[in-house]
Amino acid sequence: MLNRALILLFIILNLNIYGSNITPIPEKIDFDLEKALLGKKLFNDKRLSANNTISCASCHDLKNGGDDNLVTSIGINNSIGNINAPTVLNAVFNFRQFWDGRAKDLDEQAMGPVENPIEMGHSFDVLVKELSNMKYKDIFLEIYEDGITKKNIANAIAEFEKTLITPNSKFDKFLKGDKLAISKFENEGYELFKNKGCITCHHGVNVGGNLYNKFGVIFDPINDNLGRYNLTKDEEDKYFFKVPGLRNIEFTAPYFHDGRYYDLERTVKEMALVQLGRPMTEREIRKIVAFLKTLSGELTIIE
Amino acid sequence: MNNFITTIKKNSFIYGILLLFLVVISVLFFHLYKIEVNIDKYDNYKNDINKLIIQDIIFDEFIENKDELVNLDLIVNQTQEFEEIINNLINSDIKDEFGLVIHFRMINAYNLFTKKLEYIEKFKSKHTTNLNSIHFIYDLNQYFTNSKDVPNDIKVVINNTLFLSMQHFVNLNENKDRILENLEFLMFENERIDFERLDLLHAHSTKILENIKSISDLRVKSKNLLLGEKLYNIQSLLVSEYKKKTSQQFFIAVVFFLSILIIVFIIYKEYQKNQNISSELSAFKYAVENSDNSIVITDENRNILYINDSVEKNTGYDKNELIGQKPQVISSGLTPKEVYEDLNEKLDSGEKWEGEFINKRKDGSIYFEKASIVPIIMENEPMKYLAIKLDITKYIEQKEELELSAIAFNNIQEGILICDKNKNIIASNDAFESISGYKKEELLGTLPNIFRTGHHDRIFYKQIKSDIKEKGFWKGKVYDKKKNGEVVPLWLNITSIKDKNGKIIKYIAVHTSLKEIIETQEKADFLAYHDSLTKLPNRVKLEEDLQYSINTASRNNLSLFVLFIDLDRFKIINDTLGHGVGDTLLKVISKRLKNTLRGSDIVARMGGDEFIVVLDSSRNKNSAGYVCQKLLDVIQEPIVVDEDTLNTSASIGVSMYPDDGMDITTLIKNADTAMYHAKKLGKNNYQYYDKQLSINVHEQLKIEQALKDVIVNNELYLMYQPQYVLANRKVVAFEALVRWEHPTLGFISPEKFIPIAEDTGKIIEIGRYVFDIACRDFVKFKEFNEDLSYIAINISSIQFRDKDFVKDVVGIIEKYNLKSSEVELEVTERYIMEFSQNNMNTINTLKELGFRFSIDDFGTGYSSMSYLTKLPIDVIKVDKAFVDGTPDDNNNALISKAIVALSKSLGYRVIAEGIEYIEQEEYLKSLDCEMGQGYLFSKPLIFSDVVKLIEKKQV
Repeated sequence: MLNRALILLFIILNLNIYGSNITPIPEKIDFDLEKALLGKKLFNDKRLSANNTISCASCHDLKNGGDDNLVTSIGINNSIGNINAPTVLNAVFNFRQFWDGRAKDLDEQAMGPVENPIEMGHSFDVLVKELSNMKYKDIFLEIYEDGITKKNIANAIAEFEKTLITPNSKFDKFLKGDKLAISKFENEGYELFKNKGCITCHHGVNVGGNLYNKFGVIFDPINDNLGRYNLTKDEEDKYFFKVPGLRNIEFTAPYFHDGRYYDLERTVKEMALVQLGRPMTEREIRKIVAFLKTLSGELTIIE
Repeated sequence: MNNFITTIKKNSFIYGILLLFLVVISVLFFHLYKIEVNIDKYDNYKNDINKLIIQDIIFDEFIENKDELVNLDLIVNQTQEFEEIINNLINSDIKDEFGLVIHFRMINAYNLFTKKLEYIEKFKSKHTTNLNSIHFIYDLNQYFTNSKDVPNDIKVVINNTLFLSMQHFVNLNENKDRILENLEFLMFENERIDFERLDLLHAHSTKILENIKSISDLRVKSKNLLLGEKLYNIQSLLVSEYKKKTSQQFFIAVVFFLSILIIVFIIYKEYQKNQNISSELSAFKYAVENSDNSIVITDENRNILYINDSVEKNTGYDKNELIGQKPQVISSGLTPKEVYEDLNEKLDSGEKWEGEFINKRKDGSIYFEKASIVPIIMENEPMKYLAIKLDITKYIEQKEELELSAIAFNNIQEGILICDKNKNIIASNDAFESISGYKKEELLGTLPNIFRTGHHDRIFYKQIKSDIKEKGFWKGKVYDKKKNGEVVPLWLNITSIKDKNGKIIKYIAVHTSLKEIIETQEKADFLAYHDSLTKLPNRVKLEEDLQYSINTASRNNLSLFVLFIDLDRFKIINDTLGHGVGDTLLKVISKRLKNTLRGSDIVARMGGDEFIVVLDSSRNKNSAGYVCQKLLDVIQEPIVVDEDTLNTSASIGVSMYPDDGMDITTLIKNADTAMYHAKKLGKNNYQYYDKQLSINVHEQLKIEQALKDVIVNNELYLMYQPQYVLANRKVVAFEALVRWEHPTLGFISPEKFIPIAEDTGKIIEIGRYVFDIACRDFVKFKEFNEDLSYIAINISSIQFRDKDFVKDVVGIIEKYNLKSSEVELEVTERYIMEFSQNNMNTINTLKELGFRFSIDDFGTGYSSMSYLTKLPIDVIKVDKAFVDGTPDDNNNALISKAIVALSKSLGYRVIAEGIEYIEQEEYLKSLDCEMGQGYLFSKPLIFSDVVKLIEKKQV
């Protein structure tokens, strides 16, 4: 009797877990072209850094997964960063920006690195003055009534970052009904991804990026970054990070906030252990990795 | 003026009130507008708060969620939307519009939300972890259940743990202690069996317990935030604020409405008052503007401020040219200085001035003005001057004109008489005294009928009266009696003078003596229309008369002949013998022409040696020829002037109306042309403009001449054409036909000479001759052929008019011992119509005597059949015209058939003329036509050939 009730309960649970909560990336997103083009210019402009050596693009290589493929980034004067650079691709779909979610949106995020002393090391007051002596002045005035300001610089860059979406991945095509878009092997990976419970945190349009969770829910992965605790000083927030999206994951190595692994299989294995607390076979891991690689989409950079 | 000032004061008071109200209304309106805008936004605010409340409920539901894995994107969207809406509300104008309390409460709500968001984020982490763990321990349970290595008692505990965890998870039961108990047992057992997976089970289960605890804490904390309740309170506050606003709005609207009512009332009252004032003012203005008086207003420095239309009209200046100027611009300089001195003195002392100016218009002309100028005094100072002026130029001019008229009246040559409405003489001038012989004193008070003579009847005077009544004047010639009884012709022009109502008040009669004029006129008339030398009508008179003749001729369908006569060799006479002789010659010729022509003919001298004669319309072309010949003859007669005997001749050109021209010019021009032709042909002859006419007339005259001796010279002879019975081609009669061979003119056809003979009357003699010869020959023919029944002889209608005709005819047949029935008299159809009763008598007499009659050329005239039946006719001869072409010509075939049938039905015999072909003969035979004649059978034959024919036939 009890058994039956349990089975019934689990059917309900399973139904909910198995229901696919991954949604495809829209093929188009609304943005202001003029702002975005200005943003693109700024994004690639090294003058945004104090000594004109680093641009946004230095650490967010759009042709290479939207990050720098380093464990931690290198800022001006070769200063070493303390965290792995997240990709800018599809960042627009994240519910917060930065690993600890301290930026509400892209506008807030874009302001961060410019004044971070180990990133671009500049100050907006000076930057605004500098840009005012260049042709930026007219371009800004054409778009913004108040011309060049900190807010507008960030806004333009954010507008450009909005355009950095990667639709038409194999898996999105599969979601849209093309059942042959992924192989049987990849499909089995997807089934494992759901059944093993990865999907509980990695779902939504960005396959993640819509909640915080503890790095090491079941077992401690040994980590000296306290995550959101640094921000909230709430004991409960210790080791909590924004769950990163898995789109284009094959190009964004190394993985985790500290870039501890370059190998994706190793990374999945680590996740299965510390997050899910369940063993997986090598074959299961390979399948899941195969599935993850179907999440790579196409990036169109505006001209 | 006082009235005006009080009006202004009153007005400023009213403007003040209006302004005040305007300000009040503007303020009210602004306030109202603001509220209106707030109310507009109110709906948005309320909706937004509503959304927030709903979203908060969604958050609560999400946190309450126990077993579902939701797509967290949805929750993220909700929280982001919530944040956006509440931020917008905080940053909106809601604090200005609905009070700071709402604003602060909103901020408070936002703070609560950030707290709640924190709980939600934590819930998300824990909930996902729990879901994972519960899922995994279910998997573990499956694994252990199926494992053979695990002892059953452990399996039971595992199963039980799972079940407890499940219950605990979905909050069915608080199973924490029992779960921990089970776990402790399992861990203990595991020391022994060492299943890695049991460790996992332990780890997950403790995690679940941990998380469930903290989730339920989160739920309590979240609930205690009371965010939904706070939002609901904010909304209630908003609604109550809004209600306050709307009632305020209503109140303002009422005040607004009342204010407007008051304003409208004030404006209406003011309008009414102004209406009265303005109608009064406009009446004054109208009076001033349209006054015939010139009105000028100047300021205290005597600069013109205003002028009315009359000033413009009078001075010729435009308003713009005068305003701002001194009135001196129109001064002519002719006004005496004293006038201005007086004017200034009076005005300076504030008195009114009156006087006259002589001013100058813009075009430089002078005019006179009577003016009165008043200073307008305000507060004891002259502020303005008002000048009212009247143009009296006309009056002054009229005065002068009247003086001139009086001079003219008394010095004019025409006699003038002025009568009152009763025709009593009230004035006369000097000239009338000399025309009438009456003195002025004698005339005054008398009626003009004292001048009447017996020259005019009463109707004449009545006509004058009615003309004056209808047209207002009469003019014409009258004969008046002078005082001494002498009657003088006068040209009288009477004009009636009427008053405004059209009633006659005076008569003016102007008399011009015509005595001398009439005498001169008569002489002039004659000179104008006559040639002074010959006293013949001149060209002008000729044209008048000729036009009259043309009109008459046109009406009566008559012809006219215009003769252009030019003397031959006149120039030589004039040049050699002198003008005196030439003039005498012309006079003589004129006289001769006049004497030769009838009184009704026109003769005129065109100048030089040219004359024109227009013959009266009774003449035909031949008689015109006669006249021409006669004129040539009289002109040719020698003329003795002094001691010279002059021989002259003339050439005459003749044109004929209407053939040669319908109007004077053409007729004269064509006569002139014909005259030149005559000159070319050797002078001393006449020519018609129509060449053929010329030839014909000349030929006719020649024939006529020749005819005179035709019988004496024995130039006529006869030919005979047989008439035969169509049925057997037997000759039964002959038609006698006359022929003429002249020694010089040659053969002349009867068609030519018979009409001339008829014209001249020679036909009677010829007819008698022909009848005689025909009878003589017929007797001879009968000797050869006794079967011949008769001889047919053509008789002209002229012959019937001859008194002796019957006697002559009877005489001849008796002479040859012929029976009357052996002679057939042929008469052409045309002539029958001309038969008078006289002729009819002659024909009837002859018929009674037994002569046969036949109608020749039947069908060509216009005989009325009824008329025909009255005639004693035996035979009808069908004209050759109807035999031609038969039987192929359908028309002729039908006509000839009709004639034959008709004749037969009336009992006449029928002879067809002009049979030339056998087909014709056959056809006529088929019509039952009895007899025929024509070339087919025989041409007309001379005597000897007739004899041969008859002999042959006999043989």
